[in-house]
Amino acid sequence: MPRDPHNSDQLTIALLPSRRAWLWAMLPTCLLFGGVLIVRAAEESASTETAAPAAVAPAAASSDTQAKDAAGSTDSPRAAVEAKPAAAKEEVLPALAPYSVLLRVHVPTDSQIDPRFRSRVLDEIATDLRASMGQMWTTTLEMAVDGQPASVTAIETLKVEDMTARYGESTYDKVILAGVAISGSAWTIAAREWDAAGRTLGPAYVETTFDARLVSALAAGLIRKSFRAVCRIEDVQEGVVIAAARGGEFPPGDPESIPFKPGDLLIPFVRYYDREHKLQQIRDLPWTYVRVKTVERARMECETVSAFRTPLSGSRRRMEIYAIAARPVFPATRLILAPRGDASDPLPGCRVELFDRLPTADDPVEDRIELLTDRRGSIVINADPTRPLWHVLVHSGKAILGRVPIIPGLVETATLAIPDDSARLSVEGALSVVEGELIDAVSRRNVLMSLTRRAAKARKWENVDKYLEQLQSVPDYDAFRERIASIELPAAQAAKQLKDRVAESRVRKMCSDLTQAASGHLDADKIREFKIEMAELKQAAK
Amino acid sequence: MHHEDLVLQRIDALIDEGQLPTAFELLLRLERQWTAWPGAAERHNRLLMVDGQQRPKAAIRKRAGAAVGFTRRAADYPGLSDAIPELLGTLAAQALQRGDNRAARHFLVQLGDLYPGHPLFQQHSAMMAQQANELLAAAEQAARDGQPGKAADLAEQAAVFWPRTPNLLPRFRPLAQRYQRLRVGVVRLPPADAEHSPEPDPAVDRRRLLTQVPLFEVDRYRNGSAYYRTKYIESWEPYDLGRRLLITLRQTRQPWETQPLLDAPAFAAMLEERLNPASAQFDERLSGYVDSVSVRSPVEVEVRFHRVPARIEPVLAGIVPTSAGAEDAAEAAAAAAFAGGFIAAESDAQHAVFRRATPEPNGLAEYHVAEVVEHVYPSYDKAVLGLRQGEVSMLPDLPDWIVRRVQVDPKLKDEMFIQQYALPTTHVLQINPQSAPLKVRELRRALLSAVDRGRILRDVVLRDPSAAHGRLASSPFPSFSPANSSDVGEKSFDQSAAMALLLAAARVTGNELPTLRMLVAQSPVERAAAAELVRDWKRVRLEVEIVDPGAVTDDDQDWDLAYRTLQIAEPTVALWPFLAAAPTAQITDLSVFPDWLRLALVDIDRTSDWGRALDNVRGLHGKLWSEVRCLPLWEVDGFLVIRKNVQGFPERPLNCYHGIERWTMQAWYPAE
Repeated sequence: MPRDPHNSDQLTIALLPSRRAWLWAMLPTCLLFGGVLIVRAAEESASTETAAPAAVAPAAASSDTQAKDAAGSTDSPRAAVEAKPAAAKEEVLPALAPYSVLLRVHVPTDSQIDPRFRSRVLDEIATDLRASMGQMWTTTLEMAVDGQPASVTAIETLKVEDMTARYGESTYDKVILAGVAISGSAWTIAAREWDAAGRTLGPAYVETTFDARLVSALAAGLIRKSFRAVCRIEDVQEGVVIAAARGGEFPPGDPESIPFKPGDLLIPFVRYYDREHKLQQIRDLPWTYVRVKTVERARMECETVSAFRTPLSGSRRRMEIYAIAARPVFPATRLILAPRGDASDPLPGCRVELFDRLPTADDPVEDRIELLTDRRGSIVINADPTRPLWHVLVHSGKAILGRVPIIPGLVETATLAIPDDSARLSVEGALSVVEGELIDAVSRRNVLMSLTRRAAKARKWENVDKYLEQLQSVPDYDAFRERIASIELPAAQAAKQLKDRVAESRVRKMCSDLTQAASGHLDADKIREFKIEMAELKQAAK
Repeated sequence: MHHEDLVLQRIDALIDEGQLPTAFELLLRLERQWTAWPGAAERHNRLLMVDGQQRPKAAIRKRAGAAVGFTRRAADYPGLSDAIPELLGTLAAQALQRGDNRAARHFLVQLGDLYPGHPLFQQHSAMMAQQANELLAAAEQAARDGQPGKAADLAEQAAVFWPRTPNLLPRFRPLAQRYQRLRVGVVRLPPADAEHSPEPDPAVDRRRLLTQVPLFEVDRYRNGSAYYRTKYIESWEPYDLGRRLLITLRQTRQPWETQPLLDAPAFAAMLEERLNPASAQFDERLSGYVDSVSVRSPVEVEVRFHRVPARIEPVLAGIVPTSAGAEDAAEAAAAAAFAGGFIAAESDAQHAVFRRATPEPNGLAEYHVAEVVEHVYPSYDKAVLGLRQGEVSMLPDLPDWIVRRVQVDPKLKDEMFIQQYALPTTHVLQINPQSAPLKVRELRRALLSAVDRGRILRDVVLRDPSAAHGRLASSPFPSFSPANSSDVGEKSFDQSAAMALLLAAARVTGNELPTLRMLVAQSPVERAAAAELVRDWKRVRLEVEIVDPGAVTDDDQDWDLAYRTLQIAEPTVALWPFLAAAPTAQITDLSVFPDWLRLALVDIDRTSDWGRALDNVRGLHGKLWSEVRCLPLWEVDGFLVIRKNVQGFPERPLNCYHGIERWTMQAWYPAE
């Protein structure tokens, strides 16, 4: 069974709510003795070689047996420094719980690789991480044997289900796999992280070097890079999200490795438990991100950026909300727009606006980008480190069908479901035709009235009669009202049958707007008065 | 003595005094009153004789003409049988001296017709025949040397030089039929950079028809449906409910066919090139349908669709495996693998020559048209004269009034086929979607209301008050196309409505209506019609300037309207590029349209059922007409006038070079 490496006595005490004040007071002292680095070099092959200990912490005298347990695998641990015995993990305050990290490094057994090089790599990684992550990590370092999913190629093709199945029941918060491979004179290093809280797999980071001396430094760098910090959302007060950074009270030695900084974007998710606080399910919050505003040790104040009005509430007894650092790794994200309920039939030709900040009265965001979805119903949003968050606005005629935030590069492909607007859009098209004809009618009516007046002034009564006859043929308000009604009724009925109240009300509003416009411009009284006026003029002239 | 006899005496006196004009005047007065007054005919003949003798040397040709007329009038007039041969002989000799064989032939033929046995004719005829025989001998030698083109050229020269050469036809026939040259009369040649010209130009369209052999082409049009054929593919079998298409390529080619043979890897590479967004040949529409292309065998390619097109043929019709516009060597080398169709071989100000990319091999029982030569004429009338004189054998795009003249001309009716094209030519004003002023709907509607389309069609385009071969149009498709909606009403010519709409448009644009720029090809009919349109617009104070398409570059989108002549056989496919004024259907080109129109166009493209796609186009027809997204003007029935020695063209051709690779020509040369 895997062991829980961070259950020290001190932490156990800290978990009890009544002792929290005492813990805060004792924190500096705790920190002095807190972090434990467990280093384990795997015995890859009992028959061939034995790797030297990568790093030996003060408690390295603890037995190999514990290390073997911790590995939970067929790997043969060579050395391990064990943390204190376990207690109930869920009772630990996130701020005071350092990350329990299982780090598995794979350097293949290869004739080109000196066994001493392998152990040196392990040593140097351990040293680097100890210096940079400090007490924030309680690390178990293992050398993975060949065939284990820690090789460079395996890392790239890793599946989250496999990792969850393998480590889901373990007590590690993070499992980081790092692999080194050699091809010719090129060294390839890869690292990838699996997070236990969200049960998600981070992106694979790969680098290549031709200098063997850089291998361990690069590997340590990739391991740090792959790490995604986690925080727990404690409360939401008037739009301000209060969150506690995991291990936030154990700042890393390297300032560059500080997990959260203002401006960072986090991806929230919800963990649901049963009465026994057993995890039931983890649910993502779609189109919702958390942006860090301030960080004070473990306490963070954040804001939500979401497609929904109140996407977050504070964590409760059987529901905890966490957020994990967003790590865009792809050069771009392809956002597919699909009708709600049928993701297999994306919508090409939809008008989409992209802006990197929400418009305000002072800043209407003039530099927004206008795009159309391509034939596969998608747009490509490029990742830009200087502008990590974008807002996507999906238009359909005069209506807005979707407004979501997105972090480009986070995933390769995302799908946004939008309501079917075809009925309303066809009404908009039909009304556009009517609107054109209305303008035509109004213009003609005005010109004919003006010509009639001119003819009356010149006492050309034949022309006056001719123009009045033409005026009679111009469609009047009733004709337009009937046409608009003939468009409105079937469309509204169809929307009603589909129980699409939004579409129905939009259809009705569009039609009533145009009817009002027709009524304003084609006032029948005006024509009547005009005809009377002309008749009187004619009578007077006689 | 009668007064008329006194007049005759006076005429005699005037002739003696050399006052011929006065004598003619008196004689004409007499003849008008008494057509057969005794002695009048003799005076007339004498006048003609004296006139012929007295004309100055410079007017020798006129003298000859008059003399020939005189001979027809009075062949036995004393002295005429000596004077005429002498005159015609002199003229023929002079023409020969300056190398004008055609003129020499003309005079000698006249001489031969009038005095067949005259020694002067015999002498000249023998000399001409000898030279023609020499040319024929050279032609036969060239044929033996494997130069059929040169042989046909020399044989043609011989036939033109002296068509009365004994035994000419039997010697001419094999040479002319081995290398058949079709001469076509046009009023405008395709410009040098025609291959890349995106602008409307019937001359460019003719060139494309010759030089490009597309994967699929419309073979016939019946009951509103276009039927396709392909020269490259043996069979194309859809299966898996149309989601997969197995294409079996042809492995053989008839000698007369001009398309290149494609194998499966080359075909797949060609398709993939069009599916690759990084390629210059990327076809967004095709890539929207095709999921993958795989080679199943050397002649089989499987195409998988992730969206099934309503009809695959029009989608693949845009693929042209041939690149026959090989002007420069590098391009020719690159295109060698797919050389096909006819290639633009040479051109000058008067001619454009297109030759088969792959000539027919020796030893065949029957040969087909090997070369097409387009001759440019300054006007359609001159082109018809050229047809009459045998200079050309085909006139592809005559205006209607000339077609009607040809239809009633006994000689031409006898010698020519006059074939109506399967599709009428629709004249339409295309709107540049990028044009800022024409985004104002009121202005577009004003443009249409302001022009009297019926009058221009009758008076300018057809010159026929009954407009038998033309009708007003409400869409860019043929009027009998099922893509037209029957609910669409007429838009009447109404200048007061146009004025009203212009006022409304001016209000939208801030009281500023700019001068619009309209691209019009150099074709005379289009130019004349465009000038009339501009005149009508001017009446409502709307300024439109006619611009030569050559003056606008590809990048320069500075035009508002384009006068186009179209034959749209497949509205479901052609509507999108037409409205977007783009060569292919690309979504980004639709960004300027309102959402409802854009999505309607996209829907037509995405529909897998051709009937539904057609329904959608029909539904859109009324909206486009009402919104005036283009200005359909009229459609005109076109006719192809072609000499009867040409065989093998379809009864209702779709275009002037429809199936030209199968056309054959019987040996023929003008007898005079």
